[in-house]
Amino acid sequence: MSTSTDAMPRAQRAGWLTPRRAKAILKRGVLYLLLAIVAFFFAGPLYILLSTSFKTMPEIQAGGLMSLPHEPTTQAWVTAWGEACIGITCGGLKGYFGNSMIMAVPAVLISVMIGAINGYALAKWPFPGARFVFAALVAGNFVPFQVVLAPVSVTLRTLGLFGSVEGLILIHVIYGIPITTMLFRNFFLSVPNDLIKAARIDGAGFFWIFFRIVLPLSPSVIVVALILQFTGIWNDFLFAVSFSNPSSAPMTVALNNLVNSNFGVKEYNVHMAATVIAAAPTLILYILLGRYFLRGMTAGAVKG
Amino acid sequence: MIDIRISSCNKNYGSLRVLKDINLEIERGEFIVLLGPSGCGKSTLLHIVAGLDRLSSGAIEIGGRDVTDVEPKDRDIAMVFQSYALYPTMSVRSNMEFGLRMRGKPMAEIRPLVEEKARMLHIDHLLDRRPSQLSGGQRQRVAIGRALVRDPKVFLFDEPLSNLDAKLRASMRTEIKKLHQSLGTTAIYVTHDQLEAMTLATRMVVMKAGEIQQVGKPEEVYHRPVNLFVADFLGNPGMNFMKGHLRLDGNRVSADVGAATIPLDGYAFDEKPTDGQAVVVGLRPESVQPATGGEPFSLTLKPTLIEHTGSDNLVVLAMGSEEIVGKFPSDMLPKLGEPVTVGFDLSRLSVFDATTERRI
Repeated sequence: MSTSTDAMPRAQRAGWLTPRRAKAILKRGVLYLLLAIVAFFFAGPLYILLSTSFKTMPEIQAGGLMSLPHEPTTQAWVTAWGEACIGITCGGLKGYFGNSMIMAVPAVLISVMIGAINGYALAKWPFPGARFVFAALVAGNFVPFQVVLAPVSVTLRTLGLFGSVEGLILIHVIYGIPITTMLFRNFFLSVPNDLIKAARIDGAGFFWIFFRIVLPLSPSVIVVALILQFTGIWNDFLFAVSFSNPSSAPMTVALNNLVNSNFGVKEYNVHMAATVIAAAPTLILYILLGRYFLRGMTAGAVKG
Repeated sequence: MIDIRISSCNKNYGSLRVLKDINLEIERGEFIVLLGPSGCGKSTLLHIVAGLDRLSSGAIEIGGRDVTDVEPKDRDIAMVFQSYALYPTMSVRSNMEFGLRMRGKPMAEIRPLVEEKARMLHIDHLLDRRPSQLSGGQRQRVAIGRALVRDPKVFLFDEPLSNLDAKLRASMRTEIKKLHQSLGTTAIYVTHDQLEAMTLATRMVVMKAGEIQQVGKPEEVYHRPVNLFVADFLGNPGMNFMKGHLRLDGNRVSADVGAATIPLDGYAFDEKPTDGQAVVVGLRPESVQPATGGEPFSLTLKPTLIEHTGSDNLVVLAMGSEEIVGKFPSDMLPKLGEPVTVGFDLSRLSVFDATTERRI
């Protein structure tokens, strides 16, 4: 484009909207319009969430969904965090936020760690039946969670973990292993076999090679696994609502109980603040690690 | 003293027989080159010696010790890979230190050792770089350095120069040869490049389809190939082959190859020739030279094509319905279509049975 315009005489170039240029500008315009619509679609609700959470109830009842708060107040946030009534207790979300953290952090770390070791073994230390194990794990990804609710419930009761955070950790670890294993296995396939062989001759064993040679090559896939797992486990509602009791319930269950409460006036500002609190950890994780996430997702695509 | 003994070694992948009853004894200090086309099993054999592949049956001894079931790290070997296989996240120094650290050698001993070998290979200024910051030739030096610091009993090279450009390959080849001459460590070197094989080997092993075809000094394998495959595989341009029949006339033997009858009086037969036996007579292009008058056997043939390689002229000559190639000196330039008299160096002849394809 630029070369063709450069080649034209100056008089002809100046000020004239050539058909080619007009077409290019139009294309750009359509593109930006589409982007704006998509951005509004995703950012709009977030804006309403945030602005409403800083309003007072009278202001909300007066209408004006899209307006900024006249007298911004953090009262709704304080209530949501520490005072709102969830079920029969009125201690806010903070306890449930803690439950979610205590559940998600170990579940994420353990499932990623096991997935990495599994994937490494499957990709680099082929053993008889490795293909079958991998096929079984892939199938594991497609098991609908509804199917396993009853058996898991029985298992957890048998283990004495029903209704506990530990029980939820166990279930999330088990159901996280197929996807993390697959992720790591596929990534590790691209690690040259000669590296493993060279390290074996140099005297390194299974775990030495894993920690000293293979893992340092894999920060991108580790980040992808961490984000996928954290998002999945933090946002999980089905397992949470099925296998927790009021004292071990994670954020998702608490938020649902708060918002769907049938008593009294619906405090939209508190609900909105609670929702933002519930979504914050995954948002923050994306903001902190998002670059690595994108890099990890495209790593295989750009490497020759 | 035997350093490596490979006895009745077989390797199968399912029903595919990759190595068939390989037997080989390697003396201390030898530089053995395994040569063959791709898929002949040479790399598999090397991996089996390294312990990276398990053999289906047979035994491997290194330094008088049966290592058939010994892990690679306990075989006292070091290996250089075609892909260099440098640890990408470690510096050159860490790469070279890794093997010794794994063996629990104290850092105080490792440091000077690594620096000494790095100086020797002219990579001492690169020690703090990452492999990705090095050129191909430098990477291969580091890979060799990593093998050297370990001071192993045996060096294994798996096509180490195949990824380098032609010029670098030639200079690295010379360096590997010098290294071997100064260290005297036993080495096994896998390649499909016959020039590497000829120049580096103290003995070479030519393989085909999982079987050893011939073992011997390079010049022996080159001049006295045991079968048509070896004769054809070695040499560039390839050996001339002339099909014909043996004629026995009293004590005199000759080969009738259609366009000519080649006397075989001076030929040392491995087997007793029979009259009328179908044979293939082989003669390398450098043994087909412009006649100077003193040759015991010469022919007058028409050149049909001339290729200048710079150092020589490759002259394609019509011989009956077949063609043979002569390697003429660069100042000997015959004219196309004008017959020239060429002398055959009969002491370099190879005669093969046409059906068994073996040297007779």
